[in-house]
Amino acid sequence: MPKEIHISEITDKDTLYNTVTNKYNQVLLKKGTILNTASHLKILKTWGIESIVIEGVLDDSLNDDSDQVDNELRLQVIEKLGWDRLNDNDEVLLDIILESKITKVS
Amino acid sequence: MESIKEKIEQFEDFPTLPTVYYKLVDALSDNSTTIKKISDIISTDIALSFKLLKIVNSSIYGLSTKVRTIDKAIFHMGFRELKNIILTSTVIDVFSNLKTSSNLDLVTFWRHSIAVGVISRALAKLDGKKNLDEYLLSGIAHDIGKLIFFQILGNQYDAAFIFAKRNNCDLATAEEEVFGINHMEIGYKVANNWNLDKNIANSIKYHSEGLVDSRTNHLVTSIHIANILAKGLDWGISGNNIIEKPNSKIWLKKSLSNLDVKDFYRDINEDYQQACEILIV
Repeated sequence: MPKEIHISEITDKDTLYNTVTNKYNQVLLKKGTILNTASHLKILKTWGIESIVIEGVLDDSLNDDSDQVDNELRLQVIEKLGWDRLNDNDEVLLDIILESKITKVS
Repeated sequence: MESIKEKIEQFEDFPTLPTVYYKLVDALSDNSTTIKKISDIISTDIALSFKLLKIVNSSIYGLSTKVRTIDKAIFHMGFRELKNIILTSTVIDVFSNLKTSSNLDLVTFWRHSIAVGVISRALAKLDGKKNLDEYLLSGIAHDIGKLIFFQILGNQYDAAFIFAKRNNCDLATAEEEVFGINHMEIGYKVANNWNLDKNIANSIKYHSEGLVDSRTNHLVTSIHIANILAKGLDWGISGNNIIEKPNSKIWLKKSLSNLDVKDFYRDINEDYQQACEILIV
């Protein structure tokens, strides 16, 4: 399952799930890139990217089907918004939109 | 030759509000006015009276008892709130004959505007604000500049939508690039032409930035946040797919940390459905 992580959590060989762009919509790292902390972290920090989505992470919290659905929906919302959440208030906005998606599914 | 920008800037033929609204404003400015006098004015417009009662009895107001007469509605609302609610319920009608294009369908446009009004109102309620009518009205009016663009330019306005799509930018930026002026500035002119309160006019002019001359303002900030949420929720269509990033400076004086997400969503969803049903006929 894809998972959103803070850039400080990136480890070598994590695979990028989404293409990462800067504020000018220029591609910084393409989807599918195998990450290398030594080189890629600097690019992300330079452009103020706080979090990314990586592939194939198995998370105990996602064992439940509904959690998996929620996580998929969350990623859809993140993609739709197209901007990084920089604080708790931004997260609340995402959560409200996510709640509407969850309500529609359930 | 007159440029498009000059044509827009010099345009003064803004839509006029219904006569009943101006009669009401005159009556409300008279300190000795009575509920009966106001009620008589409103009652001359049957459609408006009917809509007003539906608004007062909707979940948006949440009154514990059903209000069946205009007198009672005025009693519950108060004069200032009444004026804004009347304006809220008439502003959509004012543009009912406007011809837009496939880039901006009027019904989905109003659904977006109503969503912004309902969400900003809910945010104000959470913060204990009393002038909730201003939030609903400001949300509904926040994008009227786009309609004025259509009124002045007709399908020439489509150039801004095309520019925004090609360049993946927001509509206001596209309008500035193509015409040298954006819909918020035009909307501000309309608001002044209609003698709307300064606060409401500012929410139209500054809703994209979320600040008034770099200063926070609760109404403007709430419209800014509600606009982002309405787009994220896909409630109506504002004419542009870009969802603006919240201006981080607004959070210096505004916090959503006490907001219960489930309750908030349930409430705004109910209010949104009801408001659309009442206001879009």
